[in-house]
Amino acid sequence: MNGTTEQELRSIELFLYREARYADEHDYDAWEALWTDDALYWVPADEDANDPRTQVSVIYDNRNRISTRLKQLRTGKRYSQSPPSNLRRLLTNIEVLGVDKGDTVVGANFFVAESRERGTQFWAGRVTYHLRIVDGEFRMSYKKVKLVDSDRALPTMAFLI
Amino acid sequence: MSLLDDHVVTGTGLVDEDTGRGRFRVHRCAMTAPEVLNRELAEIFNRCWLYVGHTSEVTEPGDYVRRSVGGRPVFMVRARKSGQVKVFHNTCPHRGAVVCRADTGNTKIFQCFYHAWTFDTEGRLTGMPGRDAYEGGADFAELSLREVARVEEYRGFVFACYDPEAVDLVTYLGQAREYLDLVVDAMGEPEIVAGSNQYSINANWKLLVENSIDGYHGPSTHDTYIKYIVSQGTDIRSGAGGGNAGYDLGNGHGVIEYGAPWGRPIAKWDPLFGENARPGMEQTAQDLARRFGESRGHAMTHTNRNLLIFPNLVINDIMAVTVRTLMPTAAGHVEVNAWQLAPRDEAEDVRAQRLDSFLTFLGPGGFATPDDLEALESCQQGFASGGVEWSDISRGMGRDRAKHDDEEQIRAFWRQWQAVVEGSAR
Repeated sequence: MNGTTEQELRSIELFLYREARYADEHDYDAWEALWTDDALYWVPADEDANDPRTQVSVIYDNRNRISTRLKQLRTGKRYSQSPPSNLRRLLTNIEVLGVDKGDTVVGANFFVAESRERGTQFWAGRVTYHLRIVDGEFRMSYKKVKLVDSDRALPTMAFLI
Repeated sequence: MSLLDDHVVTGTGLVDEDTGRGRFRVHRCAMTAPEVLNRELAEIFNRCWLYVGHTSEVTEPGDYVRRSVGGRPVFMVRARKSGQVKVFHNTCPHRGAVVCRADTGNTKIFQCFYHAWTFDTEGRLTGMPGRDAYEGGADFAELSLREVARVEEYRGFVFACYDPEAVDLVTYLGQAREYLDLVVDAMGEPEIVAGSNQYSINANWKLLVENSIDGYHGPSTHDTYIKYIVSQGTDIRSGAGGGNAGYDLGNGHGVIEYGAPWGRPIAKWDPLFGENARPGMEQTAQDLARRFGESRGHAMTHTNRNLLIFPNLVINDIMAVTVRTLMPTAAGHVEVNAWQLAPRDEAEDVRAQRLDSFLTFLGPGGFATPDDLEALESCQQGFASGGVEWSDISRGMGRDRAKHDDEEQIRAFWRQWQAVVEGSAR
């Protein structure tokens, strides 16, 4: 986007890489701290999904529910993540796409390799973030993860995507 | 193993019920052998009534949805002239290409893109390029889209059957009808909510059948889910005294009923729904009690039911209402389609809470379903160890009246499964 300096883009990239690393390494406390209080974390279920309040989703978490998701993972009794998946993700094609209600809208493509007892699974898609500066640091107010194969049968997705 | 090989090929002797000893068991090759799956495809999925979709998905003339039913590509359409809901084999009568290539839509015609043969929504062949080449006497009626042998509807639920000789749907549903009635009557006019969850499991499909109507695993597998709803103010004791029971409904159908330990979006309010929703939900509970009587009204609003319609339709009326079909693609792999059913005239905020309630438990990213799937995959992995030939499904056999966390409803499925697979149900 016009008006984004190289330096701003670089600081955005570094934030997104950090978010990816926390998710990959199951660093739940650090990952949770990246969210704003009005956060939304959305994984749509259908190709043309545009309204999670009227359509079925895979994940649609507000801040409270993000916290619940992480609490459940921390118990060690979230059996679908016990033992946790071994994860590594690539984030590419990072672009600043605009501004929405003061938040910077960033788009990227992602690719995740997930290894578990069931085998190795690859996940790919488009991720959209809304970023906001809070107390001098970036925070996420929105993360939408659109899988390339969301219109097909998905394996369990109990990890942080 | 020679005895076993015999059983696998003929499909007999895989279910062993000994009422004298109170023992019911299923041979694990029923879950692992490709030969058994072949018999299931031939005897179950080619002969039983299978759920296709709901009439609310095709309300307007020309509306259609594309589905896989019993592993075969078909599509359901509201025909424009007759207004009937038709289910067609999704293949061009000419040379085979798939005719309906979108999951959902509205159309006047279906056109095969290969040679541009065109069909109307009644299925009739209406056009083709170079029609004069067929003047030798092509029979256009014969070259129309082929309807699935049997298609019938019960209160909005559309079923198809590939066996022209099958009994009618109402006879097939038998006692399961009353439980469908409870779900439908509670909603007035139900509709399928937009969108669906599709997920896959590396496990035999029958393990998911068992799990879908299993009241026994909740407290162990879903301990973290239950702790969560308690932390949000849900009083799980509110489900006590709910007439907990499990029933064999005949024809392989089974159900469990139990007092809902959590909120139900029709009319059992819970703190998770928020104070704003409370008066409306309490009013609905009163209205249903007035219309259907105290006892039936209470069953609609405060009782959970997990219903299996043999062989692969599950309707779980729990913290939301999910309509789920399952289809094996291999002995150790199953694909699931899950929709939500809701009252058509539901208020916007209640609908949003219902969707929220659904996702709290259900779906591949929910707080409970992934742990079910993990358990089923774990069973399938365990079978590979061998050493133990039979799985035990005897729980509650000695009781006069089975409870919801017994396994009577699961035995109901297996009894019919055995009869159908070995051919004695015909």
